Amino acid sequence: MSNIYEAPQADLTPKKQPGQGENEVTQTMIDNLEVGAKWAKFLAILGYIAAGLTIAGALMGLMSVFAIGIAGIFLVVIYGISGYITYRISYFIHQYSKSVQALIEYGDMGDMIDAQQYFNRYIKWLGIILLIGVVVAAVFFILGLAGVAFIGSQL
Amino acid sequence: MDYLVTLMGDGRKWAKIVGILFIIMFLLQLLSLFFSTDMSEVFITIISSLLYLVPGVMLLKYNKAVEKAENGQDMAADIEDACLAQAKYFQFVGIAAAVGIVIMIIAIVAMVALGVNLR
Repeated sequence: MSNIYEAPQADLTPKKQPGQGENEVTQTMIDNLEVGAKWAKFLAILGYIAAGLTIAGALMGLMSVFAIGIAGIFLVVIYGISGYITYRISYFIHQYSKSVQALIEYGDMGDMIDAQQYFNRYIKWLGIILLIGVVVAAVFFILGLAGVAFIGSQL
Repeated sequence: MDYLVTLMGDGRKWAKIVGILFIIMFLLQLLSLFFSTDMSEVFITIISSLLYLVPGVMLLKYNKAVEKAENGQDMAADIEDACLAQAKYFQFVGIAAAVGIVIMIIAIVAMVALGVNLR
């Protein structure tokens, strides 16, 4: 039996706070992501507006299909695809921003994983589009050079 | 934490590709400086080349931090660095977009004002 006259004792060793475990998100990670999330939300809103305008352009092109024929269909396809891509990229950034906001609120590793998944998707889409853009630019550049060489040979 | 690092590792390859593409675009912009004819053109080219350089550097930093997290001992510190690079990337792109919109609005207002004066 314990001594009832013994001085009370308390365990003063520091306990792990939420978010301080080995497998937890640290406060520094949250602080670092917080600033970026606000700008990501801003970019997502701009992207949604741009996607809306591009799709509106596609719909207007659809009306002009009868007037300008094949060129109109080409215009509609190009505007439609670029509007959809803009929407998807904006959606990924928006979801990233939402996940980071949830992370700030609850400090949960699940939200951090969600945020990184959306960032991965965003960067993958951006990479594919940039690669296509670079290839198209290179093709046009080569075609331009070939055109100049052809004109030069004709003179 | 291990799953997070694996996930970031999957994304870092694309971040590296995008970063390198941005740097290539920056270098191409710098090359176009040789064809600039006046000072205003040089100024615009330098500003627009920075729009490629900074996000490119941020994404390459992100790639390096994740790579260190995959190999290193201080996983948490490396992930913190990766998060910082990620946030700085969005911050720069966001500020650049905001500045771009402001410049566009000023240009439209100026064009309208100029049109009115011309009449």
